[in-house]
Amino acid sequence: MSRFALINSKNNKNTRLDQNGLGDYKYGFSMPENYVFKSKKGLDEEVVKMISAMKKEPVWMREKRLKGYRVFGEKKMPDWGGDLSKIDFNDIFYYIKPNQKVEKSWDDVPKEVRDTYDKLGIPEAEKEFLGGVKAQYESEVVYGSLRKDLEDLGIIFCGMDEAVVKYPELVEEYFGKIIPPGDNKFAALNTAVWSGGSFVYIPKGVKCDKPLQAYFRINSANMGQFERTLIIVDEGAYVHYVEGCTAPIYTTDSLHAAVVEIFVKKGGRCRYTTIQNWSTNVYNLVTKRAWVEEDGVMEWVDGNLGSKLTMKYPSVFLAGKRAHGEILSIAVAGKGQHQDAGGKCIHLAAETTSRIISKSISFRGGRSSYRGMVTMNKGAKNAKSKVVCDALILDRNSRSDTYPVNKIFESEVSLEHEATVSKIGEEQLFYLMSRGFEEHEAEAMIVNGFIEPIVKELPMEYSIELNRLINLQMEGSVG
Amino acid sequence: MNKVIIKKQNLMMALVVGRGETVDLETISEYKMPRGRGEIVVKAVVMGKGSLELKGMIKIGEKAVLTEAFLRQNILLLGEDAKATAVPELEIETDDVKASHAATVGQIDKEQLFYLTSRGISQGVATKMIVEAFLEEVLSQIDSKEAEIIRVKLERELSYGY
Amino acid sequence: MLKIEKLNVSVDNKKILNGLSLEIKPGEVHAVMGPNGSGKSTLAYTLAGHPKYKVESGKIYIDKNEIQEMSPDERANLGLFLAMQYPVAVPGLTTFSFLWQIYKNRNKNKTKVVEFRNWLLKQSEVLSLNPELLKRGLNDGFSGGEKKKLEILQMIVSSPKYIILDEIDSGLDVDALKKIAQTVAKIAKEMNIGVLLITHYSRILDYVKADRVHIMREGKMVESGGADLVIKIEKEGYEVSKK
Repeated sequence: MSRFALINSKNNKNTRLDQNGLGDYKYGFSMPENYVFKSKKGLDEEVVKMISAMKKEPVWMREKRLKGYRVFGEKKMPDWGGDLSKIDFNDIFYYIKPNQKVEKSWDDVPKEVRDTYDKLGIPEAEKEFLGGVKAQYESEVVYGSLRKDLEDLGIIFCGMDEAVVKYPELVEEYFGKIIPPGDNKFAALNTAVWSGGSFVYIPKGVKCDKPLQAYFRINSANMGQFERTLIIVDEGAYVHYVEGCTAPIYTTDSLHAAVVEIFVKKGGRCRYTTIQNWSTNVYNLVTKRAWVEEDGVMEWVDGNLGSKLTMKYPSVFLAGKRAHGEILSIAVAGKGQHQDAGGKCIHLAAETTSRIISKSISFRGGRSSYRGMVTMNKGAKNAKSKVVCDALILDRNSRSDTYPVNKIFESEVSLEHEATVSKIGEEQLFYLMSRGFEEHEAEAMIVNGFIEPIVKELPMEYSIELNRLINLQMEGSVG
Repeated sequence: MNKVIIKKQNLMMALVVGRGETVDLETISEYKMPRGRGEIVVKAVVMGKGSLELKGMIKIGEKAVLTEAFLRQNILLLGEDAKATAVPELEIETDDVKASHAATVGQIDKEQLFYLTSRGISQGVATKMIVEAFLEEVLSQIDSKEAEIIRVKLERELSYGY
Repeated sequence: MLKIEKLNVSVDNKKILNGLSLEIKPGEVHAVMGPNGSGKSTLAYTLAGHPKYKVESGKIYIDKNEIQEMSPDERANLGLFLAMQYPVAVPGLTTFSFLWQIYKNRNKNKTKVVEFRNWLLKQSEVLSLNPELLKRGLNDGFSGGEKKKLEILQMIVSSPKYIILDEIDSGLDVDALKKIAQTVAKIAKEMNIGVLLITHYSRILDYVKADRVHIMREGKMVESGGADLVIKIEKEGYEVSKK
């Protein structure tokens, strides 16, 4: 017990925030820390074992974690992408457990937690058209309510921690199968210290017509977020999973290294929508991958607005005939930000198709990079892929890059890739301003128009939030 | 295998990657001064068991405002086991530029093949005509001796079958 | 004779032609008319051997040669020519060299290219086809009318026995239509060519006299008659065949 520092409710004031917690970042607020205990900083085998013990996990999961930890030690940091040199793995708390249990209804949730989510607008979300919400608060699933109709259909939607204990065979069958710890250093880290995240299982033929959503945020100095999500869409089934999160500003850096694994079985369809708006001190390094069987469809809709550095390339492995993958990606990089995002489509079977559409914006010195890959293996006859990357640079100090790789090992295929980089057209700007709009308003309209093809695929409250954020950023009041 | 690196802003290139041959080519176009203009077009045909690594980078630096730069890579995979990797890259460090790139990898257009064969032209001859037409855009713009060398190579490679 | 026997054809697993039969003798002009979606273009492309069209059952003969398994060039070399509704462009392939290649295939005599060129220019004049187009890429940037005229020029160069005209009148202005139609009618008569004229509107039949008129619906011929059938269609539309 002496290993763990006991912290009482010391008010952890952050002088950058005013009394409303609204500093120069709309969601830049922080709750005082009154947790049961905090793990020590840094990572070693003991921390990994402790995490597993506290969650009361079966041995096989503990073993997976320990393997992840070993691989993490062996793997090198990537020598491409963004600048990761300032990450100090020893300066991070890998686990914090708030003194809450999983609650079933909104009213039972403690006021502090409710306040946090109020500011994020979650009560609106818990309305008729939502299936259920699993909200993560400091590495733990705090709030969940699964609607009866979902349960009746046999749909499982719960926290990952809960799933390990309640549905062990299902989890063990799929966990780590598409993203093994050896995949990259951050996947290995996640395998070792993961906490929270969602588990979703949609049974054969079941179409979940209401989007499933999850919210979570980082709320402690040097807190890493390592949620792990596993989604299994059985044959002929359908689900739309939505996640969006925000985090407050800290003077020290935060690390978010999540892993999302998705299995789409024959004829199934999955859409995974993310709007990420981490504050600009967060390293957002996420590994997301889907394995799609015959006639299956996977759609990633990925919005990257915040963070100091994001490295995220949602991928689709088209493993069965006629499987289809789509990646729609938006990246907005403002001052001090680097969005290194894109997608990967790997064609392993015949008649598979893929489409990647990427829209990126850089301004005030931000850097936005598209990094993608389309591979067509031998045997992927009649595979087709189309990639379109458009980038908008708004000023002289900003930067845009495009790094696509197309590897074709089968001759009977077709691949098209195009990319353009440009700035806001003077004629367009003049036209709008001549109708009475100020320059920044006109810019915002043009930028929103630029990303519209992807924004229209987002659930409505996201598209509104996104448009509003763009307006704020153009105005200069944010970032 | 030798990698060939060409540093130019303007280039028209036609490549015939022969049967079993491996070609590794990178073009780098750098723009450091304002009002740069350049276009790189690489069109390549890859025969059976041939392999092409084609990389193309356009770098536009901070000072190179009002630059217009384009890169196009079109690859035709003709034979069994023909492979290609196309990597068109852009690094743009300023606004007020026009930069774009496009890459396509594919096989012979079936509609074109049908059109020609429906006029009594045999499949082999029709394929040759379509491949030549594909490279013609570049061949008509480069030195005629070089163009001839490429046409001869293409003729020879096609005669081996694919 | 161009003979089509109980042809069943599907595209992308959808059945389009349902037991279609038709016989065209040399020198005869058969007009095939029908509403959109009746399978007219499918008939044209199936006869020419387009890989997308799958013959499920039935037979096609060109002068006693069974052709439904043959490749497009084999059929062309037996004397079949399809003038397409949407001709394909092949940029980089000079129109002239393309026509020369067709001519060489169909005529094994030792005509010299210069002689061919002079002859070709005369033919272009008859069609009012701008000779400058011969230097351009095949159909590359050609207008609708220019493309159709080039189809007819290709037809002339191929000296076919049976021709299929797939809605050659679509997208043409009155003058172009008249010129093309009159040229086709003249050549067909002189060379005793069997003509399958697929059309949606009857105007072209003012210039090309049809010996037989067929109405096509849902993938087969539902009514056949003489030229007077056209008058009936003009008055009552394609519903006339339902009565």
